[in-house]
Amino acid sequence: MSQSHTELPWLPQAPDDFRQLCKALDASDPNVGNAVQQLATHRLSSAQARSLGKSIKRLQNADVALAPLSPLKLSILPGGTFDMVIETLPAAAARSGIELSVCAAPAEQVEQSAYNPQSDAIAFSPDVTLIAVDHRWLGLDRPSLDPAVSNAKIDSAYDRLRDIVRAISDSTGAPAIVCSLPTPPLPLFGNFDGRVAGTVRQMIVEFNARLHDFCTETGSILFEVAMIAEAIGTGQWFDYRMYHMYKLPFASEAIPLYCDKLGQLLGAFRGKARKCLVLDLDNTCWGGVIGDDGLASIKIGPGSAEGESFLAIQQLALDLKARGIILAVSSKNEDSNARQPFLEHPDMLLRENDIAVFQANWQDKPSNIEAIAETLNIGLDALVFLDDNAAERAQVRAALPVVAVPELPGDPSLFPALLASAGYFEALSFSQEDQQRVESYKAEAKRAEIRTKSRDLGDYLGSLEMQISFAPFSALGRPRIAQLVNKSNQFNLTTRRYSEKEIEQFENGRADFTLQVRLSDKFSDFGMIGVIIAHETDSKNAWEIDVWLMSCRVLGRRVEEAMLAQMVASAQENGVTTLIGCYIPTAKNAMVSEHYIKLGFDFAEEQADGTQLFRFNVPAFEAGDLPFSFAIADPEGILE
Amino acid sequence: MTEEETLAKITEVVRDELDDDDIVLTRDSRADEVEGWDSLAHVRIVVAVEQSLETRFEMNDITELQTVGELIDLIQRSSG
Repeated sequence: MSQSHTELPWLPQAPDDFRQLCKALDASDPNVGNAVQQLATHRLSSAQARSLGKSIKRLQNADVALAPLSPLKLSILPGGTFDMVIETLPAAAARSGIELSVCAAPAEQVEQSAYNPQSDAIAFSPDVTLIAVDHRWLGLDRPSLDPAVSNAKIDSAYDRLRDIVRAISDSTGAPAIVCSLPTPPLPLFGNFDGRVAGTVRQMIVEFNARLHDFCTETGSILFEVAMIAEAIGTGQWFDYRMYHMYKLPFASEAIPLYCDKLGQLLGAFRGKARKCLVLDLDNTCWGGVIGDDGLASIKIGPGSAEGESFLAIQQLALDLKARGIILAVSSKNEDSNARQPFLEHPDMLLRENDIAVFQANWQDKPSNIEAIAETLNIGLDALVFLDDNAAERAQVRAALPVVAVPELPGDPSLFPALLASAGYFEALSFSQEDQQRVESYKAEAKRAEIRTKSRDLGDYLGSLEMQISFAPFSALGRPRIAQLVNKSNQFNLTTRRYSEKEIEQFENGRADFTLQVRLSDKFSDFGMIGVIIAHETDSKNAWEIDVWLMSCRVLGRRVEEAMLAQMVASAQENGVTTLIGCYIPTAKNAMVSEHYIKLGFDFAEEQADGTQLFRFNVPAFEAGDLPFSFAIADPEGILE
Repeated sequence: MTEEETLAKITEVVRDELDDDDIVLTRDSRADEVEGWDSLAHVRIVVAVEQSLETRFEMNDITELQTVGELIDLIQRSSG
């Protein structure tokens, strides 16, 4: 993934047929507003954003209500060529929950439009007006080394801006958005620029510093354009070529980012900023899988690069909480396992009482996220869901399109900057009330009732394009098999441990059936994720399943059904008519207590030590339709 | 890139930018003969060509462009 901010790396990639999807937006569809927002929530090129903008315009012209988007009328008074921004903006605004109508004054007609109540931009009766001027328009683009002159220049820039804001306020009754000024990379003295009052750099510093009071005084909203330029670098922001040719005020590469940030500001203006951060745990808040690796082995805290990266994520979450963002957890885990680091790990920054709702279970994440929203009594559109797992993200996006789900790369050190840059938690004000709001949610890490809805998981699983491959144990697979056998705790029916030497013996005939399973989908290659070892019993026509384990990362994907089908096929070839399943309960494997029953085994007996036995009648097996294609490719030669 | 590939790339970009999949371009196509290819579209097309080829043209080269053939030559020069 590219990490350039200009490419909005926190948004998922747009589908190839994006333009066709925009054209297919149907005015008679009651959910068309949702569809618009869903399309808008991609990493859009300028052309794609323009395409969506056109479709939004078409729907607006047909008088279609685009709920849940909130209508907003924006006038723009641009100091340069703004057409490309104006075309891109409606799509970016839809991403932040706004159905935007834009009216722009002609380039460099800022004052002419502001002072003329009949001008298009004013007669449009905007809800808010953007005054998009930069240091050049404000006359701060040349140094004035006499402090009296440079001060006069800044004063006059402010007088000009104030008059425009007042005129707009008088004629429209609506507030203005004013922009902070990026500093061009054109130092005069160099390092000494900041020490001389009249350098361009110092005048802009002074101008930007006074802008905050100006906003308070005039009731204006501040658009931190300087912050955008800073994030991508002023060397990239200023494109003098395009300025001289076409009066583009900044580089065209920055337009999507500029529009994204302006859209978020408009969203916040309409009360659309998000309120709650929902965190996954394994490999999002710490490195590793708590249920398998255990408290001592997860990576969190100082001492390792990985541990520090996850610490930085926790720091950001806590900083957000301190400014009033509610924190919640949604994790596929046993509740007690998931809570253990919060309670017992000395290096965890997040503690149980930082989390308002704590959902650790094996239900699908959309159901849990809905439960979190209901418990907090906030809308789903107030949630941001942070998860390292691409398939979980895809499922939440598909099931709950209004939940914001940032893309995350594999590298956890990049998570905090991506989450922060995505700008979900825009604020137009900050008060003590905001800080106290979190307390009012009584962060007590409560568990919310899940009302599991019947979701059509079939479509979702099909869309993952999963490829599964099966093979008996092999020398190449042996180290990973041994690792799984000795490490897996949760999806592990018997928790029997065997050394690599013993695995080799199973491979060479000590077991009558061995199976290693690999899985990949369009997002990632999971590698080996399942193991079965079975032995013939004395009766010869039965196999007893000694080991059945799976990686928890592939839960809910029907892998266990595919494994059973594979074992049944092999049983049939070998004249085996009965499979005997064994479940040995431990502190960690409660999630598989129903495993054999769900697969159609019959309960047989429970032994004194709690071990349960189940029987499966092989001839009665009926093959179902499973969402896998069977991988032919076998790069590691495990099918040999 | 061969000249044909470059023309195909330009056609793809122009179709995207003008939102018209029926546009057919040749070396001799002139901007003012293609519907919708106005001065603003020209900026967008130049920008999009630059971004899709990850190159930057010189200002004077852009201002002198008249035909698609000249754009192809410019691209060939810039990437050569």
